[in-house]
Amino acid sequence: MSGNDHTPLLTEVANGDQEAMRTLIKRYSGLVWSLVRRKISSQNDAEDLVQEIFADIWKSAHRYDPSIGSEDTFVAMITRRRIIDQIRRIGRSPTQVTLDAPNARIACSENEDIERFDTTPNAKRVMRVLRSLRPERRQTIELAVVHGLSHSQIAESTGMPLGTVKAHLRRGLDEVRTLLNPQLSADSKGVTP
Amino acid sequence: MSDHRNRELSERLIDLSADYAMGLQDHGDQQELEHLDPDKSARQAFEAVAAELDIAYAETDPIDMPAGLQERLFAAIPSPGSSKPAAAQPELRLTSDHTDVAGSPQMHSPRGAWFPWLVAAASLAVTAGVLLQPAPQAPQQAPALTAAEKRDALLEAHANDEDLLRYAWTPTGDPAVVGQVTGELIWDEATDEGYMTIGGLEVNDPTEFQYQLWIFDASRPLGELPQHGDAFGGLLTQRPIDGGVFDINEDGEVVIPIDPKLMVKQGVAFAVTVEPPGGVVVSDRSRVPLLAIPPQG
Repeated sequence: MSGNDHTPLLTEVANGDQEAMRTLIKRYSGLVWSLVRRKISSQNDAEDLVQEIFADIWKSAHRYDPSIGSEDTFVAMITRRRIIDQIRRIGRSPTQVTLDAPNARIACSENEDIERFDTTPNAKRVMRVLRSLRPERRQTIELAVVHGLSHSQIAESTGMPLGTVKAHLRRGLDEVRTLLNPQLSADSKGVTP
Repeated sequence: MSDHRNRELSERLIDLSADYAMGLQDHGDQQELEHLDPDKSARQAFEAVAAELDIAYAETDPIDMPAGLQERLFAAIPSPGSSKPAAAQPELRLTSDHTDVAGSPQMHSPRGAWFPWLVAAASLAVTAGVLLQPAPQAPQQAPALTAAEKRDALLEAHANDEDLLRYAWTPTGDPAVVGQVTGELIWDEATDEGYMTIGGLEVNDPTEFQYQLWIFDASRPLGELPQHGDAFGGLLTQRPIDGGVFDINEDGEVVIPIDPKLMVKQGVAFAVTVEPPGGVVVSDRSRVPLLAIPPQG
Protein backbone atom coordinates (compact mmCIF):
# COMPACT_ATOMS: atom_id res chain seq x y z
CA MET A 1 0.00 0.00 0.00
CA SER A 2 2.59 2.56 0.95
CA GLY A 3 5.62 3.16 -1.09
CA ASN A 4 8.64 2.93 1.14
CA ASP A 5 10.53 1.07 -1.53
CA HIS A 6 9.25 3.10 -4.47
CA THR A 7 10.87 5.88 -6.40
CA PRO A 8 9.28 9.13 -5.18
CA LEU A 9 6.84 10.64 -7.63
CA LEU A 10 6.05 13.95 -6.03
CA THR A 11 8.86 15.82 -7.74
CA GLU A 12 7.43 14.83 -11.11
CA VAL A 13 3.93 15.66 -9.92
CA ALA A 14 5.15 19.10 -8.85
CA ASN A 15 6.29 19.62 -12.45
CA GLY A 16 2.81 18.89 -13.70
CA ASP A 17 3.49 15.33 -14.86
CA GLN A 18 0.04 13.81 -15.23
CA GLU A 19 1.32 10.29 -15.66
CA ALA A 20 3.24 10.60 -12.41
CA MET A 21 0.02 11.77 -10.76
CA ARG A 22 -1.82 8.73 -12.12
CA THR A 23 0.86 6.47 -10.72
CA LEU A 24 0.76 8.30 -7.42
CA ILE A 25 -3.01 7.84 -7.23
CA LYS A 26 -2.61 4.12 -7.96
CA ARG A 27 0.07 3.88 -5.32
CA TYR A 28 -1.61 5.77 -2.52
CA SER A 29 -5.35 5.80 -3.09
CA GLY A 30 -5.75 2.61 -1.08
CA LEU A 31 -3.82 4.08 1.83
CA VAL A 32 -5.70 7.38 1.71
CA TRP A 33 -9.05 5.60 1.48
CA SER A 34 -8.24 3.37 4.45
CA LEU A 35 -7.24 6.38 6.55
CA VAL A 36 -10.30 8.38 5.59
CA ARG A 37 -12.88 5.61 5.85
CA ARG A 38 -11.91 4.73 9.39
CA LYS A 39 -12.81 8.15 10.64
CA ILE A 40 -15.46 9.45 8.28
CA SER A 41 -18.59 7.40 8.69
CA SER A 42 -20.41 8.62 5.58
CA GLN A 43 -19.17 6.89 2.45
CA ASN A 44 -20.14 9.86 0.28
CA ASP A 45 -18.29 12.30 2.53
CA ALA A 46 -15.31 9.95 2.54
CA GLU A 47 -15.19 9.76 -1.26
CA ASP A 48 -15.42 13.54 -1.56
CA LEU A 49 -12.66 13.97 0.97
CA VAL A 50 -10.34 11.55 -0.84
CA GLN A 51 -10.75 13.63 -3.98
CA GLU A 52 -9.97 16.80 -2.05
CA ILE A 53 -6.88 15.18 -0.57
CA PHE A 54 -5.48 14.22 -3.95
CA ALA A 55 -6.20 17.70 -5.24
CA ASP A 56 -4.27 19.00 -2.26
CA ILE A 57 -1.37 16.65 -2.98
CA TRP A 58 -1.34 17.81 -6.60
CA LYS A 59 -1.12 21.43 -5.55
CA SER A 60 1.29 20.88 -2.68
CA ALA A 61 3.68 18.44 -4.30
CA HIS A 62 6.32 21.13 -4.72
CA ARG A 63 6.71 21.20 -0.96
CA TYR A 64 8.01 17.66 -0.93
CA ASP A 65 11.75 17.21 -0.50
CA PRO A 66 12.79 13.57 -0.98
CA SER A 67 15.99 14.15 0.94
CA ILE A 68 13.99 14.92 4.04
CA GLY A 69 11.23 12.41 4.39
CA SER A 70 9.39 9.52 2.83
CA GLU A 71 6.68 10.12 0.31
CA ASP A 72 4.07 7.99 2.05
CA THR A 73 4.54 9.93 5.29
CA PHE A 74 4.04 13.18 3.38
CA VAL A 75 0.84 11.80 1.83
CA ALA A 76 -0.39 10.53 5.21
CA MET A 77 0.33 13.87 6.87
CA ILE A 78 -1.74 15.72 4.29
CA THR A 79 -4.47 13.14 4.68
CA ARG A 80 -4.47 13.44 8.46
CA ARG A 81 -4.76 17.21 8.32
CA ARG A 82 -7.67 17.02 5.92
CA ILE A 83 -9.45 14.44 8.05
CA ILE A 84 -8.98 16.52 11.18
CA ASP A 85 -10.37 19.49 9.32
CA GLN A 86 -13.36 17.51 8.10
CA ILE A 87 -14.11 16.12 11.55
CA ARG A 88 -14.12 19.64 12.91
CA ARG A 89 -16.54 20.69 10.21
CA ILE A 90 -19.00 17.84 10.55
CA GLY A 91 -18.46 16.78 14.13
CA ARG A 92 -16.52 13.89 15.49
CA SER A 93 -17.75 10.42 14.54
CA PRO A 94 -21.39 11.43 14.98
CA THR A 95 -22.88 8.11 14.01
CA GLN A 96 -20.60 5.92 16.01
CA VAL A 97 -20.10 7.50 19.37
CA THR A 98 -23.47 8.49 20.63
CA LEU A 99 -24.64 5.94 23.07
CA ASP A 100 -23.05 3.56 25.43
CA ALA A 101 -19.44 3.86 26.13
CA PRO A 102 -17.59 0.71 25.98
CA ASN A 103 -14.66 -0.79 24.85
CA ALA A 104 -11.44 -0.37 23.15
CA ARG A 105 -10.17 -2.05 20.12
CA ILE A 106 -6.54 -2.98 20.43
CA ALA A 107 -5.12 -3.98 17.12
CA CYS A 108 -1.90 -5.74 17.40
CA SER A 109 -2.91 -7.43 20.60
CA GLU A 110 -0.51 -9.87 22.16
CA ASN A 111 -2.36 -12.77 20.58
CA GLU A 112 -1.63 -11.62 17.05
CA ASP A 113 1.50 -12.63 15.23
CA ILE A 114 2.80 -9.44 13.64
CA GLU A 115 5.09 -11.32 11.30
CA ARG A 116 2.09 -12.96 9.68
CA PHE A 117 0.52 -9.66 8.73
CA ASP A 118 0.55 -9.07 5.00
CA THR A 119 2.14 -5.67 5.27
CA THR A 120 5.39 -3.79 4.86
CA PRO A 121 8.42 -4.23 7.12
CA ASN A 122 8.04 -0.66 8.32
CA ALA A 123 4.42 -1.20 9.35
CA LYS A 124 5.49 -4.31 11.24
CA ARG A 125 8.19 -2.31 12.96
CA VAL A 126 5.67 0.34 14.02
CA MET A 127 3.36 -2.39 15.29
CA ARG A 128 6.19 -3.94 17.27
CA VAL A 129 6.84 -0.56 18.86
CA LEU A 130 3.16 -0.23 19.70
CA ARG A 131 3.10 -3.66 21.23
CA SER A 132 5.95 -2.66 23.51
CA LEU A 133 3.86 0.09 25.07
CA ARG A 134 1.80 -0.30 28.21
CA PRO A 135 -1.66 -1.57 27.23
CA GLU A 136 -3.42 1.62 28.35
CA ARG A 137 -1.13 3.76 26.22
CA ARG A 138 -1.54 1.51 23.23
CA GLN A 139 -5.28 1.56 23.73
CA THR A 140 -5.56 5.35 23.86
CA ILE A 141 -3.30 5.76 20.84
CA GLU A 142 -5.37 3.34 18.83
CA LEU A 143 -8.64 5.00 19.76
CA ALA A 144 -7.25 8.43 18.87
CA VAL A 145 -5.23 7.54 15.79
CA VAL A 146 -7.29 4.82 14.18
CA HIS A 147 -10.77 5.85 15.21
CA GLY A 148 -10.28 9.58 15.63
CA LEU A 149 -11.87 9.75 19.06
CA SER A 150 -11.48 12.82 21.25
CA HIS A 151 -10.02 12.77 24.76
CA SER A 152 -13.48 12.81 26.29
CA GLN A 153 -14.74 10.06 24.02
CA ILE A 154 -11.78 7.89 24.92
CA ALA A 155 -12.42 8.59 28.59
CA GLU A 156 -16.02 7.57 28.22
CA SER A 157 -15.13 4.56 26.14
CA THR A 158 -12.50 3.19 28.50
CA GLY A 159 -13.76 4.44 31.83
CA MET A 160 -10.44 6.21 32.48
CA PRO A 161 -10.42 9.73 33.95
CA LEU A 162 -9.96 12.45 31.34
CA GLY A 163 -6.60 13.53 32.72
CA THR A 164 -5.34 9.97 32.59
CA VAL A 165 -6.40 9.64 28.97
CA LYS A 166 -4.53 12.81 28.05
CA ALA A 167 -1.43 11.65 29.87
CA HIS A 168 -1.48 8.20 28.27
CA LEU A 169 -1.97 9.60 24.79
CA ARG A 170 0.68 12.30 25.08
CA ARG A 171 3.29 10.12 26.76
CA GLY A 172 2.43 7.22 24.51
CA LEU A 173 2.97 9.25 21.35
CA ASP A 174 6.23 10.60 22.70
CA GLU A 175 7.31 7.07 23.56
CA VAL A 176 6.51 5.91 20.02
CA ARG A 177 8.44 8.88 18.65
CA THR A 178 11.55 8.05 20.61
CA LEU A 179 11.29 4.30 19.98
CA LEU A 180 10.93 4.83 16.25
CA ASN A 181 13.75 7.33 16.21
CA PRO A 182 16.21 6.51 18.97
CA GLN A 183 18.53 9.32 17.94
CA LEU A 184 15.91 11.80 19.04
CA SER A 185 15.80 10.49 22.58
CA ALA A 186 19.54 10.92 22.91
CA ASP A 187 19.59 14.64 22.31
CA SER A 188 15.92 15.55 22.72
CA LYS A 189 15.91 17.32 19.38
CA GLY A 190 12.43 18.27 18.33
CA VAL A 191 10.95 18.74 21.75
CA THR A 192 13.33 21.24 23.30
CA PRO A 193 12.30 24.82 22.70
CA MET B 1 16.72 29.04 33.04
CA SER B 2 16.85 26.11 35.46
CA ASP B 3 16.94 22.49 34.36
CA HIS B 4 13.65 21.98 36.14
CA ARG B 5 12.05 24.80 34.17
CA ASN B 6 13.52 23.49 30.93
CA ARG B 7 12.12 20.04 31.63
CA GLU B 8 8.71 21.54 32.37
CA LEU B 9 8.83 23.41 29.09
CA SER B 10 9.80 20.28 27.22
CA GLU B 11 7.00 18.31 28.79
CA ARG B 12 4.55 21.06 28.04
CA LEU B 13 5.74 21.19 24.44
CA ILE B 14 5.32 17.44 24.15
CA ASP B 15 1.78 17.72 25.49
CA LEU B 16 0.82 20.52 23.17
CA SER B 17 2.51 18.98 20.13
CA ALA B 18 0.89 15.60 20.74
CA ASP B 19 -2.52 17.20 21.09
CA TYR B 20 -1.88 19.19 17.92
CA ALA B 21 -0.89 16.11 15.94
CA MET B 22 -4.07 14.37 17.06
CA GLY B 23 -6.18 17.41 16.21
CA LEU B 24 -7.14 17.68 19.86
CA GLN B 25 -5.58 20.95 20.93
CA ASP B 26 -7.67 23.58 22.66
CA HIS B 27 -7.97 27.00 21.12
CA GLY B 28 -6.32 28.53 24.14
CA ASP B 29 -3.23 26.39 23.65
CA GLN B 30 -2.51 27.60 20.15
CA GLN B 31 -0.73 30.79 21.14
CA GLU B 32 1.38 28.99 23.71
CA LEU B 33 2.34 26.38 21.14
CA GLU B 34 3.38 29.07 18.67
CA HIS B 35 5.60 30.55 21.33
CA LEU B 36 7.18 27.25 22.39
CA ASP B 37 7.58 25.88 18.87
CA PRO B 38 8.15 28.85 16.59
CA ASP B 39 9.62 26.79 13.74
CA LYS B 40 6.90 24.12 14.04
CA SER B 41 9.52 21.41 14.24
CA ALA B 42 8.02 19.72 17.31
CA ARG B 43 4.55 19.76 15.81
CA GLN B 44 5.81 18.28 12.58
CA ALA B 45 7.77 15.60 14.39
CA PHE B 46 4.64 14.48 16.21
CA GLU B 47 2.57 14.72 13.04
CA ALA B 48 5.08 12.45 11.33
CA VAL B 49 4.77 9.93 14.16
CA ALA B 50 0.98 10.03 13.92
CA ALA B 51 1.26 9.56 10.16
CA GLU B 52 3.54 6.54 10.62
CA LEU B 53 1.03 5.03 13.03
CA ASP B 54 -1.81 5.69 10.63
CA ILE B 55 0.09 4.05 7.79
CA ALA B 56 0.91 1.00 9.89
CA TYR B 57 -2.69 0.52 10.98
CA ALA B 58 -3.98 1.09 7.46
CA GLU B 59 -1.57 -1.42 5.98
CA THR B 60 -2.33 -3.99 8.64
CA ASP B 61 -6.07 -3.71 8.22
CA PRO B 62 -6.76 -2.11 4.84
CA ILE B 63 -10.24 -1.16 3.68
CA ASP B 64 -11.14 -1.83 0.07
CA MET B 65 -11.85 1.20 -2.05
CA PRO B 66 -15.31 1.51 -3.58
CA ALA B 67 -15.52 0.64 -7.25
CA GLY B 68 -14.93 3.57 -9.53
CA LEU B 69 -13.29 5.91 -7.03
CA GLN B 70 -9.83 5.51 -8.53
CA GLU B 71 -11.21 6.26 -11.99
CA ARG B 72 -12.87 9.40 -10.66
CA LEU B 73 -9.55 10.45 -9.17
CA PHE B 74 -7.85 9.90 -12.52
CA ALA B 75 -10.53 11.94 -14.25
CA ALA B 76 -9.96 14.82 -11.86
CA ILE B 77 -6.30 15.25 -12.82
CA PRO B 78 -6.10 18.67 -14.48
CA SER B 79 -5.34 18.61 -18.19
CA PRO B 80 -1.97 19.91 -19.43
CA GLY B 81 -1.61 23.64 -19.03
CA SER B 82 -4.80 24.08 -17.07
CA SER B 83 -3.37 23.93 -13.60
CA LYS B 84 0.25 23.25 -13.00
CA PRO B 85 0.95 22.40 -9.41
CA ALA B 86 3.59 24.92 -8.47
CA ALA B 87 4.58 27.32 -5.78
CA ALA B 88 2.63 30.00 -7.60
CA GLN B 89 -0.59 28.19 -6.74
CA PRO B 90 -2.62 29.84 -4.03
CA GLU B 91 -1.72 28.38 -0.70
CA LEU B 92 -4.17 25.74 0.38
CA ARG B 93 -5.04 26.36 3.95
CA LEU B 94 -7.02 24.43 6.45
CA THR B 95 -10.07 25.95 8.05
CA SER B 96 -9.96 28.58 10.70
CA ASP B 97 -9.52 25.96 13.41
CA HIS B 98 -6.17 25.11 11.91
CA THR B 99 -5.06 28.47 10.67
CA ASP B 100 -1.52 28.16 11.82
CA VAL B 101 -0.71 25.46 9.33
CA ALA B 102 -0.70 25.28 5.60
CA GLY B 103 -2.68 22.52 4.03
CA SER B 104 0.38 20.42 3.52
CA PRO B 105 3.53 19.69 5.43
CA GLN B 106 5.92 22.56 4.92
CA MET B 107 8.74 20.59 3.49
CA HIS B 108 10.34 23.68 2.03
CA SER B 109 10.90 25.04 5.50
CA PRO B 110 14.41 25.82 6.63
CA ARG B 111 16.40 22.65 7.12
CA GLY B 112 16.76 23.39 10.82
CA ALA B 113 13.04 23.35 11.28
CA TRP B 114 12.90 19.91 9.82
CA PHE B 115 15.82 18.51 11.71
CA PRO B 116 13.74 16.24 13.96
CA TRP B 117 11.91 14.81 11.02
CA LEU B 118 15.11 14.53 9.05
CA VAL B 119 16.54 12.37 11.79
CA ALA B 120 13.31 10.44 12.02
CA ALA B 121 13.15 9.90 8.29
CA ALA B 122 16.77 8.88 8.09
CA SER B 123 16.23 6.40 10.87
CA LEU B 124 13.16 4.98 9.23
CA ALA B 125 14.86 4.81 5.85
CA VAL B 126 17.86 2.97 7.24
CA THR B 127 15.64 0.55 9.08
CA ALA B 128 13.44 0.05 6.07
CA GLY B 129 16.50 -0.61 3.99
CA VAL B 130 17.68 -3.24 6.41
CA LEU B 131 14.27 -4.79 6.66
CA LEU B 132 13.83 -4.85 2.92
CA GLN B 133 16.75 -7.19 2.48
CA PRO B 134 15.58 -10.63 1.42
CA ALA B 135 14.25 -12.35 4.49
CA PRO B 136 16.07 -15.48 5.58
CA GLN B 137 14.23 -18.65 4.81
CA ALA B 138 11.85 -19.40 7.65
CA PRO B 139 12.27 -22.78 9.29
CA GLN B 140 9.84 -25.39 8.15
CA GLN B 141 6.76 -25.23 10.31
CA ALA B 142 3.77 -27.47 10.70
CA PRO B 143 0.78 -26.14 8.78
CA ALA B 144 -1.41 -23.88 10.90
CA LEU B 145 -4.64 -25.36 12.16
CA THR B 146 -7.85 -24.09 10.65
CA ALA B 147 -10.42 -22.38 12.85
CA ALA B 148 -12.57 -25.48 12.65
CA GLU B 149 -9.70 -27.68 13.79
CA LYS B 150 -8.92 -25.33 16.67
CA ARG B 151 -12.57 -25.32 17.68
CA ASP B 152 -12.66 -29.12 17.62
CA ALA B 153 -9.51 -29.23 19.74
CA LEU B 154 -11.04 -26.88 22.30
CA LEU B 155 -14.20 -28.96 22.45
CA GLU B 156 -12.16 -32.12 22.86
CA ALA B 157 -10.07 -30.56 25.63
CA HIS B 158 -13.25 -29.84 27.56
CA ALA B 159 -15.08 -33.03 26.70
CA ASN B 160 -15.04 -34.18 30.32
CA ASP B 161 -15.74 -30.94 32.13
CA GLU B 162 -18.32 -28.17 32.10
CA ASP B 163 -15.92 -25.24 31.98
CA LEU B 164 -16.79 -24.27 28.44
CA LEU B 165 -19.62 -21.81 27.74
CA ARG B 166 -21.67 -23.27 24.92
CA TYR B 167 -24.64 -21.30 23.62
CA ALA B 168 -26.88 -21.87 20.64
CA TRP B 169 -27.71 -18.77 18.63
CA THR B 170 -30.89 -16.83 19.32
CA PRO B 171 -31.89 -15.10 16.06
CA THR B 172 -33.78 -11.82 16.06
CA GLY B 173 -36.03 -10.27 13.43
CA ASP B 174 -33.10 -8.45 11.80
CA PRO B 175 -33.13 -8.71 7.98
CA ALA B 176 -29.60 -10.16 8.04
CA VAL B 177 -31.18 -13.39 9.28
CA VAL B 178 -32.05 -14.95 5.95
CA GLY B 179 -32.50 -18.61 6.73
CA GLN B 180 -32.54 -21.25 9.40
CA VAL B 181 -29.89 -20.15 11.86
CA THR B 182 -27.50 -22.93 12.72
CA GLY B 183 -24.39 -23.22 14.80
CA GLU B 184 -23.32 -22.18 18.24
CA LEU B 185 -20.79 -20.16 20.16
CA ILE B 186 -18.23 -21.71 22.47
CA TRP B 187 -16.08 -19.74 24.89
CA ASP B 188 -13.33 -20.78 27.28
CA GLU B 189 -13.13 -18.16 29.99
CA ALA B 190 -9.86 -19.51 31.35
CA THR B 191 -7.99 -18.83 28.12
CA ASP B 192 -10.19 -16.20 26.42
CA GLU B 193 -10.49 -18.53 23.45
CA GLY B 194 -13.70 -19.14 21.60
CA TYR B 195 -15.28 -19.85 18.25
CA MET B 196 -18.50 -19.09 16.47
CA THR B 197 -20.15 -21.47 14.07
CA ILE B 198 -22.77 -19.63 12.07
CA GLY B 199 -25.19 -20.50 9.32
CA GLY B 200 -28.26 -18.59 8.19
CA LEU B 201 -26.91 -15.03 8.08
CA GLU B 202 -26.88 -12.92 4.92
CA VAL B 203 -23.67 -13.11 2.90
CA ASN B 204 -22.06 -9.68 3.24
CA ASP B 205 -20.01 -7.54 0.88
CA PRO B 206 -17.16 -6.33 3.15
CA THR B 207 -17.11 -2.99 1.35
CA GLU B 208 -20.74 -2.46 2.30
CA PHE B 209 -21.02 -3.82 5.81
CA GLN B 210 -19.48 -6.34 8.17
CA TYR B 211 -20.56 -8.32 11.17
CA GLN B 212 -19.04 -7.63 14.56
CA LEU B 213 -19.15 -9.70 17.71
CA TRP B 214 -19.58 -8.11 21.13
CA ILE B 215 -18.84 -9.84 24.39
CA PHE B 216 -20.84 -8.87 27.46
CA ASP B 217 -18.68 -9.14 30.53
CA ALA B 218 -20.54 -9.15 33.82
CA SER B 219 -17.56 -7.59 35.54
CA ARG B 220 -17.72 -4.43 33.41
CA PRO B 221 -19.81 -1.41 34.35
CA LEU B 222 -23.33 -0.90 33.09
CA GLY B 223 -23.98 1.53 30.29
CA GLU B 224 -27.21 3.07 29.16
CA LEU B 225 -29.02 1.82 26.11
CA PRO B 226 -32.61 2.37 27.11
CA GLN B 227 -33.99 1.05 23.84
CA HIS B 228 -33.06 -2.41 24.99
CA GLY B 229 -34.82 -1.94 28.32
CA ASP B 230 -35.04 -5.04 30.44
CA ALA B 231 -34.77 -7.41 27.51
CA PHE B 232 -32.68 -10.40 28.38
CA GLY B 233 -32.45 -9.30 31.97
CA GLY B 234 -31.03 -5.93 31.00
CA LEU B 235 -27.97 -7.65 29.64
CA LEU B 236 -27.77 -5.59 26.47
CA THR B 237 -27.42 -2.37 28.41
CA GLN B 238 -23.95 -3.40 29.52
CA ARG B 239 -20.73 -2.15 28.06
CA PRO B 240 -19.46 -4.86 25.75
CA ILE B 241 -16.01 -5.81 24.56
CA ASP B 242 -15.24 -5.89 20.86
CA GLY B 243 -14.96 -9.54 19.84
CA GLY B 244 -13.80 -8.89 16.28
CA VAL B 245 -15.15 -8.14 12.84
CA PHE B 246 -16.00 -10.95 10.46
CA ASP B 247 -17.69 -11.78 7.19
CA ILE B 248 -20.17 -14.39 6.10
CA ASN B 249 -19.39 -15.99 2.78
CA GLU B 250 -21.24 -18.41 0.57
CA ASP B 251 -19.70 -21.50 2.10
CA GLY B 252 -22.73 -22.13 4.27
CA GLU B 253 -21.93 -22.66 7.93
CA VAL B 254 -18.66 -20.93 8.77
CA VAL B 255 -16.35 -21.18 11.78
CA ILE B 256 -14.96 -17.89 13.05
CA PRO B 257 -12.47 -17.44 15.89
CA ILE B 258 -13.44 -14.90 18.52
CA ASP B 259 -10.93 -12.08 18.76
CA PRO B 260 -11.51 -10.08 21.97
CA LYS B 261 -9.73 -6.73 22.04
CA LEU B 262 -9.67 -6.60 25.82
CA MET B 263 -9.31 -9.26 28.45
CA VAL B 264 -12.66 -10.86 29.20
CA LYS B 265 -13.10 -11.61 32.87
CA GLN B 266 -16.63 -12.91 33.00
CA GLY B 267 -18.18 -13.32 29.58
CA VAL B 268 -21.85 -14.03 30.04
CA ALA B 269 -23.45 -13.20 26.71
CA PHE B 270 -22.56 -12.37 23.13
CA ALA B 271 -24.18 -10.36 20.37
CA VAL B 272 -23.53 -10.08 16.64
CA THR B 273 -24.19 -6.64 15.16
CA VAL B 274 -24.16 -5.24 11.63
CA GLU B 275 -21.63 -2.45 11.27
CA PRO B 276 -19.82 -0.33 8.65
CA PRO B 277 -16.71 -1.84 7.02
CA GLY B 278 -13.97 -2.30 9.58
CA GLY B 279 -16.37 -2.33 12.49
CA VAL B 280 -16.91 0.37 15.07
CA VAL B 281 -15.51 1.26 18.45
CA VAL B 282 -18.92 1.90 19.89
CA SER B 283 -21.95 0.19 18.46
CA ASP B 284 -25.40 1.70 18.74
CA ARG B 285 -26.66 -1.87 18.46
CA SER B 286 -29.40 -0.81 16.10
CA ARG B 287 -28.97 -4.08 14.20
CA VAL B 288 -28.42 -7.20 16.25
CA PRO B 289 -29.20 -10.27 14.14
CA LEU B 290 -27.87 -12.87 16.56
CA LEU B 291 -27.48 -13.33 20.28
CA ALA B 292 -25.75 -16.02 22.22
CA ILE B 293 -27.19 -15.82 25.69
CA PRO B 294 -27.81 -18.05 28.66
CA PRO B 295 -30.98 -20.11 28.33
CA GLN B 296 -33.93 -18.00 29.42
CA GLY B 297 -35.82 -19.10 32.51
